[in-house]
Amino acid sequence: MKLPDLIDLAARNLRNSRLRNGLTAAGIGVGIASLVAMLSLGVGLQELAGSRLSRSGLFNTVMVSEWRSVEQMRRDGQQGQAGALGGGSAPSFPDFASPPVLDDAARQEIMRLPGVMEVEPEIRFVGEIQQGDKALIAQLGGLPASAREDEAFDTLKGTFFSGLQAGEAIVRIEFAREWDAANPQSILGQEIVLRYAERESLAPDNSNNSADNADGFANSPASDSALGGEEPAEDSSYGFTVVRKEQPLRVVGILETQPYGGMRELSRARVFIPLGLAEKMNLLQSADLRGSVTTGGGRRTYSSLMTQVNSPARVSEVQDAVRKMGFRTFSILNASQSLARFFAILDLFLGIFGSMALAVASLGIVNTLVMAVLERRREIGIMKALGASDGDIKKLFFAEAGTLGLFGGLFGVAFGWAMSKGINMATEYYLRQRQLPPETVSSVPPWLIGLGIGFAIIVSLIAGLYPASRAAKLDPVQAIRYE
Amino acid sequence: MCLRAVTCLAAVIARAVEWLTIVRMTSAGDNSRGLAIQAQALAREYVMGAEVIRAVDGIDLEIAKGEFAALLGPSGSGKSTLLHLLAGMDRPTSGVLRVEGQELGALTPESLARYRRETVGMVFQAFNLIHSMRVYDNVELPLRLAEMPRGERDARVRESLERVGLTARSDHRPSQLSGGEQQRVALARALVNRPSVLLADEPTGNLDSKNGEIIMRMIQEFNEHLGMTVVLVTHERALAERYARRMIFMADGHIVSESNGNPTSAGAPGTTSILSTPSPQSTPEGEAR
Repeated sequence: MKLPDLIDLAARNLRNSRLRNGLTAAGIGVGIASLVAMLSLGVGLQELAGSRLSRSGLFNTVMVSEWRSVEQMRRDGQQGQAGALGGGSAPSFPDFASPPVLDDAARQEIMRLPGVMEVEPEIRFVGEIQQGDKALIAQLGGLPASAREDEAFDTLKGTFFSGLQAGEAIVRIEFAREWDAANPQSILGQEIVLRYAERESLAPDNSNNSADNADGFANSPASDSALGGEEPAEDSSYGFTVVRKEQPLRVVGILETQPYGGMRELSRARVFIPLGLAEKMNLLQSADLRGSVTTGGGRRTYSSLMTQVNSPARVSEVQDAVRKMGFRTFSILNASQSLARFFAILDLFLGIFGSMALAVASLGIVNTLVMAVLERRREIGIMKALGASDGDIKKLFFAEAGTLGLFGGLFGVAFGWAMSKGINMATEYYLRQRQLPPETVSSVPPWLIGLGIGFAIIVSLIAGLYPASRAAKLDPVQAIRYE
Repeated sequence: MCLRAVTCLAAVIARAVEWLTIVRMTSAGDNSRGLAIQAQALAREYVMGAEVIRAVDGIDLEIAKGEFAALLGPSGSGKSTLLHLLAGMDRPTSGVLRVEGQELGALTPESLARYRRETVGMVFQAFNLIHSMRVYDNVELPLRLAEMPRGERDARVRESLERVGLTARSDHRPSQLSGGEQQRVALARALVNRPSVLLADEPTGNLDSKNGEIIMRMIQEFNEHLGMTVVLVTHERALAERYARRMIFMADGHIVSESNGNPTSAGAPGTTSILSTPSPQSTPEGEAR
């Protein structure tokens, strides 16, 4: 029998028992809806995590740090142990008799690697914010211009920095509340003063003049020490001194949420200043203390450098090159690969749970079709007497099972899509209640629609195997006598 | 004189040509009118526990093409089993059964299904129409199974329905028809694939005498006008005598005797051709139930 005739006959047979077949299709639909809703949750969560990571711009970022971390120092003597970060393929510590220091020279060398666009230090420091009699101690951080793309700035009140070295600050809402609990927004536009510790290099001819420079940022010789600037004392081994400095700032924005600021707890800053300004301020960093041991203190060192690569595809290449230089690297690609594995497992489990209902529904199909074989025994006999082959009868029952699956799948996908929307609405409502920005946690991509319908048809066809075979084997002589 | 001689010669030549044509046609007819059905030592056994039932037990039978044969016998004589074997719905346990040159016992299941579609048409006592389908769809079903293109099917279905006088009933359900009409639908369905052999299993068993007669005359006309070989199973000797040219008597799975029927031709004077009967609505069972 030709396919259009098969479909026509199958549809006619299904129409003859509308209620039963409708309920069977609904059963499949519920199964598919459950599967689609579960997988849409997995897909949505994966997309949410992926979009957050990609918006942070870290898919094309490599974090470079020194091999000799505090942890490694503790492990000195336990040669050959790999570090916690760096994806496990970094050269082991003993390969370097004297581990390289992450200083300006290293920064320049990384900058020259092919595909590298910028190399920025992670600057975090503690300072005091002052205005009149009011003073608050806060953790501060330097933000690069690329941070503007971070989704935390979607809800920024005020504006982003007007320039890389602008005397401006953006504060977290928690800081603003602490500043003025009654009216946190009042800090916006205010002039404040930042007191901070400046690292001032000692040189033979200026080892005693640090106190003279303690009266302000503008007069400090370190003001020219930004990357690329001349700093004659950097290469000396006379160490550095710490002086207190002040920097006037104007608060231009208030952040509701924490922007992504690196890989460490140190990143939890409450006040942000432009990274260019932070570099220019020659701030004392924790790495300077370690640098004073490893390099004699004359050179500025970095705890870590954020390296921007022009394409995520070149991240591995840059990572390898930096590792060969003797530094540890970490990229979000390492994390995203783990994330992909995690979500693959999550999707598998969600799919298994979602398929439970479908498995039950498939028994419904078997039941419906076996009933149909019994009820239409005589009809099958007549068809065989008129020349239907066993294959024709089998195909007819397959067509009926497939049609049930198709309608069940369409209904299931629609229902699953509605459930997905419901999950999103409920999540948004929940987040709104807690004054959090809305999130899409459930997503039904086109492939999931196709998968749902295809899966419904395949499961229905498998469920139709036994009834179809049973129908095909009927003896026409016996079947025609059946009343 | 001369002209007369020429005329006579021409007449003789014309008669000779005519005679030769008749002889050739007769000869050709003989060739084409070979055997439709040939059974040799045909047997069908059923095993019921420890007992072996021989429903058909070593039958030898030959039925010529275009013949109208009736199988008669009491219940359990094996006539329906033989008919099912002829219809390709069952397979012989042993022996040879050849219909229209096809050895049925040697056919694959697929070939046997094709045989049922193309070679034989079947009419049952219980009509065996599919009640969820309209009259039109019931008649169309064998054509669907034969994978005939949709465009050609409509003409065939309408032609068959017209032959049994049920064109006006094509959109009705079988349950809306009388018994006689249902059996006419079954006849139209058996006819639609233009089979060479028509097998009828007690076709009048569920009908009153008047409708039974209409059905039998239709079958007779198919035999006489369409050249179909007809095998009729019945236990009514009078019916068989009236329509079949040959009567085959069966008992206990054997053919016990044969005799000739005494049919009146469907086209004989004093009979009305069913095929030209204008409207089924004019018959007593013409009205829908």
